[in-house]
Amino acid sequence: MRKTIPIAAAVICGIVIIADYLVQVPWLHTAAARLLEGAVVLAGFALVLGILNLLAFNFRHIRDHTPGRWQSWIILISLPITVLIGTTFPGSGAFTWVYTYVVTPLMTALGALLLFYAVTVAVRLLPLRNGAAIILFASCLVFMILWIPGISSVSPFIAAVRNWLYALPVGASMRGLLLGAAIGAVVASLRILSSLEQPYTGITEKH
Amino acid sequence: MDGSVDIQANLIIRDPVLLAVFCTILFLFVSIYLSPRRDIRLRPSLFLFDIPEQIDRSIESGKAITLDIAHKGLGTSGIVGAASSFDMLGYETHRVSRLGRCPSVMCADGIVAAVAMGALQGESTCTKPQVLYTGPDPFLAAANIALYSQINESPAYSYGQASVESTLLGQDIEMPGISRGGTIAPLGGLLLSAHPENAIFGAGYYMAPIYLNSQSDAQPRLHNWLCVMIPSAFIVELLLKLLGHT
Repeated sequence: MRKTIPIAAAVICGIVIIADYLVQVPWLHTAAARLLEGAVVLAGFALVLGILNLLAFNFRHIRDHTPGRWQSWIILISLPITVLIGTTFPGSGAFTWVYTYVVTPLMTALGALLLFYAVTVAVRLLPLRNGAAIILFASCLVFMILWIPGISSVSPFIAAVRNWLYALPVGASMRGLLLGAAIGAVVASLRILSSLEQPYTGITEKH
Repeated sequence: MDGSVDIQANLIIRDPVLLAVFCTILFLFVSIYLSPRRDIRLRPSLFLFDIPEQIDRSIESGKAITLDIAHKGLGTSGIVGAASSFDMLGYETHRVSRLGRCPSVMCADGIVAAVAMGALQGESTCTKPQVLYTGPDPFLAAANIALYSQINESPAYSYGQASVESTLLGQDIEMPGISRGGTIAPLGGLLLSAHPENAIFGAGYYMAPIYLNSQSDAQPRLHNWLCVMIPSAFIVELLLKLLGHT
């Protein structure tokens, strides 16, 4: 019974939502809307749970005197400030200011660091002198040069190469990857809907 | 008025093509499940079979196991990925705790975090479960790497929805892993240098539970069929376009 009820609930909910997506039947639409409403409410609670988890995780870091606990202090100070601004002045310029001048620059800075992470890894691997390490290093170098601001003004050829690389080889690899992931997701959904796979009931080892 | 409901008048098909595709996949799924011999044998990545060994090796070398699950909230397309993660969460927690350790978990959904916490607390070795809520959209690969370092200086094995770049870089610093995919443009070029021996992306993320769960009746056959059929359909479409049929 402990397994049957979750499996039945998962299968029925899944079928109702998929059926409503494919065909338009009034009573089915009502049922699907109710289920989705429930999911939205659940998602709201998920956010609260997540924030509580984040606070607990960082409190633990500070209490246990772990290295880098200053990062936890930043979270514990900035989180209530942001929540306070968001709840006290909803839709005001203050919250937009926080997003535009704090969050966006930080995200951009992280993005800018990305290539340096890649180059660091590539340089660390170079002494191995294997083909893969050399290819990684070369591709990091090429992409770093191609992304130098204003490089297109040096030669229009560089911009053409960059566009070609992103439009064809990189674009094709990314699409292939996403297609593979989509096939995997479709098959996984069917496995869960048909209860061949029951992630909510636990797992035992095959090996 | 006889009180009967005219089903035909109340039933409207939203998108006939979508319905046809869904019915085809469903038919394929049922027919493959009913006839065990109907199979296209595609060689899965050897790394899928190596997962238990990779976990054991990481634990023996004293490094951490990191699960990075559910990068999208409930009610989004990411929930299928989160469901697959639960399988791996159960498997890894069990295997890691058998060796006296406890995996670290990162997730972007509060309820998934609560489930993960519950799963970890169920194991006697997890006295201080490490479950970190990362916020709803930790998109950048750099952020992922930073998060890894927050949990452990050098995680040895990772499984999750991390971006392809971080998994690729991870395997290069001897951190094998499986990621669901999703990538960002600035480092998209890294895909060209990918030599995934100890990393899996995309479909492999969803396949891993099949190879690990002894209770699962699932087989990779439908996946293999779709892997052949869908690219074939694209090639046929391309040929038709080249021949002037639109």
